[in-house]
Amino acid sequence: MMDVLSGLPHALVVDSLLAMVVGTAAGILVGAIPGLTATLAMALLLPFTYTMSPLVALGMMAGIYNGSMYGGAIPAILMRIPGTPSAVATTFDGYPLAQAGRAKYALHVALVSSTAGSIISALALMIIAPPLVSLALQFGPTEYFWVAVFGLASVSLLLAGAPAKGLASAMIGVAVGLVGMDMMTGSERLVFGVRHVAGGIDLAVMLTGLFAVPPALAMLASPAGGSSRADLTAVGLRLGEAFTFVRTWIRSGVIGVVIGIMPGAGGNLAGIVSYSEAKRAAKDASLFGKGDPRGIAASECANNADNASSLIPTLALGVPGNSVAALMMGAMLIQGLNPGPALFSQHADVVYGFMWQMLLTAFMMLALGLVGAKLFVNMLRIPAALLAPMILIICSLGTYASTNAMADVWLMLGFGVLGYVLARTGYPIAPIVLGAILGPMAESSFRQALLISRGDPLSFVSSPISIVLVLAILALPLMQLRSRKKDTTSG
Amino acid sequence: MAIEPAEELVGNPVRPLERLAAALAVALAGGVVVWDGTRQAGASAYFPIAVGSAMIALSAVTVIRLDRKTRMTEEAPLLRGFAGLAMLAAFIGLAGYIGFLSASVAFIPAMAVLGGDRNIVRIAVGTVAFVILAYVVFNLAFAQPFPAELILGG
Repeated sequence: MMDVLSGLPHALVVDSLLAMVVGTAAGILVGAIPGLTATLAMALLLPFTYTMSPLVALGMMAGIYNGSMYGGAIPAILMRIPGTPSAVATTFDGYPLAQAGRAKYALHVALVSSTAGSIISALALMIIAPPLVSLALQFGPTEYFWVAVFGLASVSLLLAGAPAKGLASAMIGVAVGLVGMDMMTGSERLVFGVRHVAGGIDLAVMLTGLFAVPPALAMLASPAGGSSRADLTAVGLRLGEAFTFVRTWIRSGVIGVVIGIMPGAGGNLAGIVSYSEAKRAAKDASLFGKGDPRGIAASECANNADNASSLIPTLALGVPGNSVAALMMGAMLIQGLNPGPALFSQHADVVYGFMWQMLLTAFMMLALGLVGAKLFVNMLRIPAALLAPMILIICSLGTYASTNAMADVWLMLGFGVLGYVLARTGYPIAPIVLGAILGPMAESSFRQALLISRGDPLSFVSSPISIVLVLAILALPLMQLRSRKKDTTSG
Repeated sequence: MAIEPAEELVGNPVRPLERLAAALAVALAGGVVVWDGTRQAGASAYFPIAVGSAMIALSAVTVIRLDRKTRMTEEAPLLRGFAGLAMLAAFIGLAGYIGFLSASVAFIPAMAVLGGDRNIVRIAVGTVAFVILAYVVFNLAFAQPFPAELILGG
């Protein structure tokens, strides 16, 4: 506990506080614009983090992550368009409330529920991650190999509509991770005479191209400009009323945290599951779907409770469970910080400081959401066709600024083309990034394990942890088959 | 983003031929990875050969499971998407010679028109405001070294 507390002063320095405020405001703005997501905002920010200190970069990202989840509720409530995929369930009751002239009330319910979810999630991160690190300290190369394989397989299988495409995406990512010099033998792989990539492919360049270019292109096909003119003069949520949602927040918070820890699941799943549970648990569920504020509270609390908890496996094991966690990990790697057990001993100030940033940005989101409601609502009126080229220019500027090499801007474009073509044809993008991060980890662990055991393949299943991980990997396809069978039966 | 059957989701169509082409391209990339792996010695070859082979095998599974239905996607339509990428390529190429901000003056209106915006005043105001803001943020506040600008100096 003292370790966790030691991070607070680092999170409270002026630079970190400013970064959190800017990140949170940017996150709400981004979330409020349909088509822009936390992933895109972080991908845009990533190249600029090279020159920032770790807690400034991470503070900004923490703000974007939390802020964008609330921001997504704004168009969901006012226009029935979820600003981010996580806000889908918010439209069910948010829009009917806005139509009934209670837009301000609905936005307030979303804001306080998002804050509650973020607080629950940050506390879960502080409580669960340190014990998980103690367990991870017992891991050797064999266990790390299986952890990497589990991370890759779970996200690939759970994110894709077709498992073969999910796994193929992961393999493409592993192949990208192989580009450059083999650290163990010094031989060059997949370089083909291009000297610029002999040192490997820059993670920020890849992330920017994959996560920012395809959504910007998709905006070209979006309707030009929003038309929300919401009436925000009506009565909002009173303090006393807020406490009537406590039971919903606890239930949805727990659901969000559990789903957040699971690799491959995300805020949209958390929101929908939590909404269904709130409806099931309600004594009178007749108003759900017609403007019941408990529906907004459940959805918004759960999709924010998914945030910090999704970083538990990232920080403790170095295994990102979704694309935002992969971007967070990318930001840490840029700073020379390797997520995993060693991070907690070598850079305790950063890791615990970051946990506090996840908590503090929840309160900043509440303050900014109350003060800047009108500004955020006006963001809905920016035409998408004008915003798309601006995003692409920021991608290019950011990529150039990070390495001062025009070749990297072309490489970013190459990843943009790859991301666009694959996303169009049903290949999920997140496993590519996970493959690029976890592939090298899997390879080095695999080769270290072989060296230590002098080539004995049985060493890969010699420890109880390895056996559990292998069983978990084998269970993944079975779980997917079962869920498909269930879908077929119910559909 | 995942694609769904046409009858369940509105969006932009993805024809079977496009999905087949993508699967074959992944298989081809896998073949290149395997080929590069065979040129490596010892343990350096293990992962490239395994990963490349997996890409080929998974593409084969995708091709076998390919159906003739047109699916829908939330991504940009094919022509508009590639037109956008071509414009981005032109922008990057131009930026190397006349600078990012100078190239933006042509890029923003061109992309906005491609996206269907026909409000000339809004596009002009948006372009000028963005270029000035980007100049203040990147050139003045961050003092980042960028390629020399044709306009605005720097």
